[in-house]
Amino acid sequence: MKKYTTEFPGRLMHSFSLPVLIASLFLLFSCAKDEAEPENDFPEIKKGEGVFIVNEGNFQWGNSSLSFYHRESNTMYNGLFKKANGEDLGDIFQSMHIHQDHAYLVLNNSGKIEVIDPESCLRTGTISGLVSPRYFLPVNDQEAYVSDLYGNHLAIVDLEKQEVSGEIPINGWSEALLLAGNKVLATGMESGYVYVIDPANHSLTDSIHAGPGPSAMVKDKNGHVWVLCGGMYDVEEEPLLLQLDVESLEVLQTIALPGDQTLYSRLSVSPDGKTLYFSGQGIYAFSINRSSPEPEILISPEGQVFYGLKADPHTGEIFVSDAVDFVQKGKVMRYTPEGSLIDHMEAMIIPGDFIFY
Amino acid sequence: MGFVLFFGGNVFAHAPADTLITLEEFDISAPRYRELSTGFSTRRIDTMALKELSHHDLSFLLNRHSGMFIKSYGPGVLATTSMRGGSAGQTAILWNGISLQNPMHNQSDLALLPVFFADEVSIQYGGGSALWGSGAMGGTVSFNNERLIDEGLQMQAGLITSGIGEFTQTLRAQWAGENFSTRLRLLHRDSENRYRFINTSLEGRPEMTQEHAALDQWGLLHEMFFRFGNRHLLDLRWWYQENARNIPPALQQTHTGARQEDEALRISAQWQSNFNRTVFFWRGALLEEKLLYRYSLNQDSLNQDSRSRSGSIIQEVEARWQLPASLLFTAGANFEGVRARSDEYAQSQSRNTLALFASARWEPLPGKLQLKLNGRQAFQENQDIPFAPSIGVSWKALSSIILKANTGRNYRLPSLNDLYWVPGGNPELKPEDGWSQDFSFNYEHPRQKTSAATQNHDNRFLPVKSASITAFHRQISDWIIWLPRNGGMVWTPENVMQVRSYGLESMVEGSWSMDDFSLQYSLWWDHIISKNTKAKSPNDASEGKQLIYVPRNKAGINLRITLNRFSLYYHHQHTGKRYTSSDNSNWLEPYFTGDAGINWNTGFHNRHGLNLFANVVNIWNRQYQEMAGRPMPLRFFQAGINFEFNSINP
Repeated sequence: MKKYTTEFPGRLMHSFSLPVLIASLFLLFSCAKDEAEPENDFPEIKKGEGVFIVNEGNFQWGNSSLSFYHRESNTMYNGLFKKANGEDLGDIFQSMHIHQDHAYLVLNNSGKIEVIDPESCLRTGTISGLVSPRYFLPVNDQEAYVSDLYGNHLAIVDLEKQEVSGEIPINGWSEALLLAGNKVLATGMESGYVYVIDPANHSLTDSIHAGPGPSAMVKDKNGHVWVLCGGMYDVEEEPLLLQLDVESLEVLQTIALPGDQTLYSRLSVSPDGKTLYFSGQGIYAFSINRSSPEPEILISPEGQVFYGLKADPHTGEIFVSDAVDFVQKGKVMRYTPEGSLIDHMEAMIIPGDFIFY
Repeated sequence: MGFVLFFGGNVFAHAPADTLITLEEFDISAPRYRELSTGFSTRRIDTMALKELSHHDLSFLLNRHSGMFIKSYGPGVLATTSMRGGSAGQTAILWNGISLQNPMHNQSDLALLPVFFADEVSIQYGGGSALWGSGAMGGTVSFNNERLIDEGLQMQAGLITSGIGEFTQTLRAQWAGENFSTRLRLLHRDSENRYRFINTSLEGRPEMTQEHAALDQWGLLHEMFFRFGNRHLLDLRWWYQENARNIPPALQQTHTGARQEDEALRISAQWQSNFNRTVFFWRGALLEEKLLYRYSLNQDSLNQDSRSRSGSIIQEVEARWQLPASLLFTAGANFEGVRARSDEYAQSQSRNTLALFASARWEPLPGKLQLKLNGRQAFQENQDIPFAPSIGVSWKALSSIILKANTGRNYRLPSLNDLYWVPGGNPELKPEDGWSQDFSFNYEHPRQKTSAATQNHDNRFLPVKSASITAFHRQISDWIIWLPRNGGMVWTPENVMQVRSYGLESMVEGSWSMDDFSLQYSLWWDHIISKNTKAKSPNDASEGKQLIYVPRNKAGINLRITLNRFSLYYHHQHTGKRYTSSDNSNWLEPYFTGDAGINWNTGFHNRHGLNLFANVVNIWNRQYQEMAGRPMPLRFFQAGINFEFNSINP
C-alpha cells in the first residue's frame, strides 16, 4: 500500500539540500555579534569628585538610568542604580536631589522617588504613591516638597518615614521649587504663576504672576530669585526672565527674550552668582550686572540639540547635553565658562540633568 | 464538502489542488491584488492556518506564519507591522483592495482585525505604490473575503474560552443561490486578559499577572453578492466593530488608567461588468473610525481625554481590455476624500487625492514569459506627489521553476498627524520616497507529471513541495521621524532619515501523506538589514546602524499532522535581537515561542459537523517582549467548540 514516488531516494537527497542550505545560511547570519558594552567597574564616588547625570530614558520604555562622571579620571560610569540594586530604575528619571547623605531620584512616570546612598548607590528606601512627580526639595529637616505634572498639588514627603504625608493644593502643573529664606517658591507651568508657600504650616501665602511657562528658578549672588519663563507652545505671551525680591516679593526687573517661536528652558547660575545660563537656540549667558543689555548666545549649536544644562558650582564649567535623536546614548559636553569646548563623553538615553556632588 | 473544508481537520484530502507551477493566471476578472502582481513575491497564508487561528487577531496569525515582525504591546493591545525594515506606516493593509490605514497616523491596528472575518490573508512583499499608492512601501497585507461557491444554507457557531479569562462567541451564516448569496459573521469577545508575565525590571524577575488589559469587542461583517445575468456582478459589504480596551501599563509604570475605545464602520461596494474582451469595475467605500483615549493616573482624576475621528470616501473606476497578442491593458482613476477631527488638531482637516493608474501586461511567450508595466500618478492640492512606476517580469525558466523580478518607485505621504498635530505638526513635509528591487526564485514540485503514474497520489513523500527565495533591496530618502526641537519641549516630524534595506526571504514547504495520515510543514526565514545611511546631526551615532525594532532574523516552522479525525499543529518561531536604541547600544534579547493545538472533527447525518479544539499558546512558557517594557504572556490554554449545520449534503 505504501507507495512512494519511484524517484524517492534520489528526490530525498536532492530536495533536502535546500532546507539544509537555508538552515545553514540562517546560522551563518545569526552569528553577527554586537560588541558588548564595555563595563566599567563601579566607581568610587566621593564628595567633590564628580557629577551625577540623570538619564531620563524614553516614555514607557523603562530605560532611564543614573550615570556618574568622575572628574579626575575623566571617566563616565553608566547604569549605576541597576548595577548596585539589580533592578531597573524606572520610567522617566526626571530629577535628582542630594540631601543629608541621601540622594532622591524622582521617577516621573513610575510615580515614585528612589532614595539611595549617593556613594554606594544602594537603595535605602522608596517613596511611592506620587502621581506624576517632577522635582524634589527638602524644606526643613523633616519634610520635602515634590512638584507634580498632573496631581494638582505639591506632595509633602516625610523624610524620616519616607512616605507622602500630605498635599498642598496647586492648580495644574507645578514645576520648579526653590527655598529662599523662610519661603518656598513653586512655579505653575500652565498658570504662569510663582506660588509662595510657608513651610512652617504648608500654607499657600501668596502668588505672583511671572510669565509664560515658568520652568526654572535660581538665586543670584544678592539672594534675588530669577525665574525663567521660557514660553509655552500654546501661549501667546513672549518668553522672559524675571528677577524677584524674595522678601518683598516685588518684581525687580523683567528681561524680554528674543521671541521668533523659540522656547527657552533650563536655568543655571555661575558659582559667583553673577552670570545666568539658559538654553534656547543655543546656550545663552546673561550677566546680572547687565554688562550687556540683552542675553547673548555663548555657545552656538552646530547641529546638536542642547537639552540639559548646568554650571559646575565648584569649577564654573558648563555641562551641556545633546540627546541626539532621543533614542541613542546622549552626549555630554563640557565647556569653559567662556564657552569653549573642553571635551565630551557619552552618557545614556536622554541625559537631562546634572547633579554636582 | 463544505463542512470538511471548514473544519478542515482532514486536511490532506483537501490540500491545495495539484498544479504545475504557473504564472499569474490570465484571468481578466480577477481581483486586482492578484492580477497585478507579476514579478512580485507573494505568500498566501495556508487556509488551514486561518481556521486554526480564526479566534485570534491578524497580528497573531502574521507573527506565527510569516517573517514579518509584529510590534505588539500585548495580546489584544496595539499591534503594528514592520516589513522589510520599514515603519508601521510603510505596510499597506488592504481589505478587499481598500486600504485600512487610518489617515491620521497611516497605520492600522492589527489587533483589531479578527482572523474570523477573513477568507484569505496574503502578503505581497515589496513596494507597491504603483499599484496601491501611498503607504505600500515595504509590502502589502491583504485581508480578503471571497464570493460564496457552495449553494444552500450553512450555519456555524463557535465558542472559545481561555485560561486568561477570555470568552468568545462566533457565528457565521451563509446562504447562496444562483443569483444572490449572502454571508453574515458575528463575533463577540470578552476577555479579562489576565495573563501571566515576568517582570524583568525587578530584581529576581518575579512572575506577575496583568490586571489592566481587559477587552471587550464585538463586530459584524455582512456581505451580499448579486449576479445580474451573465455579465454583471455586485458585491456589497459592511463591517461594524466596537472595541473597548484597557491599555496595560508598561513595566515601570506603577499606575495606569489608560483605556481606549475604537469604533469602525466600513462599507464597500463593487460593481463588475464582464464583456467579451473588456471588464469594467466601479468600487466605492466609506470608512469611518472613531477613537477615544482616556488616561487617568488614579481612580479619582481623569487627566487626559483625547478624541479623534476620521472618515474616508473612496471612489474608483477601472477598465480592463484584453487585446490580441496576449496583451492586457488596465486603466482607472481613484478618488479618496479624507477628513479628520482630533482634540490634538487646531481644526478639522481634510485632504482629497485623485490618482490615475494604468498598467499593461504582455506575454511574449504565453505561459512562459510575462511582462508587466504599472504606473500611478496621484494629485493633491498642497503636495507634490511623485509618479510611481514599476516594471515586473515573471519567467517560467523550467517546468518547475519561475524566476521573478521587479523594480519600482514607492512613496508614503505624511499622515495628517505628521502635518497638523499641535504642537509640532509640520505642514512642510514631503513624501517619503524611494526605489525598490526584488528578485525571486520559485520552485514547485511537478506533481502532476507523477500523479498519473500513481493512482493514490496522496500517498507520497514530498520533502520539498515548493520553495522560494527572494532577494530585495530598497533605498528610501526623506524618511519621516519625529525629533525634539526647542530643547526637547516640542517634537516635530522631519524628512531626515535615509534608509537602505536589503535581505532575503525564503520558504520551503513539504508534505508526507499516507492513507489516513498526513504531515505538512513549512519552514521560513527572513533576513533583513535595514540601515540608517545619513547622520541626523553631528553627534548622531546611528549612521550605518540597524534601525530600531527591526530584527535581522526571523524564522519559523509550521507543522501539521493529521490522523483520521484528529489534527495537530505546532508553530515555532524565532525572532532575533531588536535594537531599542538607534546607535545599537541597547537591545531586546532574541526569543522563540511555540504554540500547539489539537483538533477533533466529527460529522453526523453526512451533513453536520462538530469540531473540538484545544490550543496552548507559548507552550515553552518563554518570557519575551516584542516592545521594550511590554511583556508578552507566558503559557496559556484555549479551548473551544464549533458546530456546523448544512442544509444540503456536502
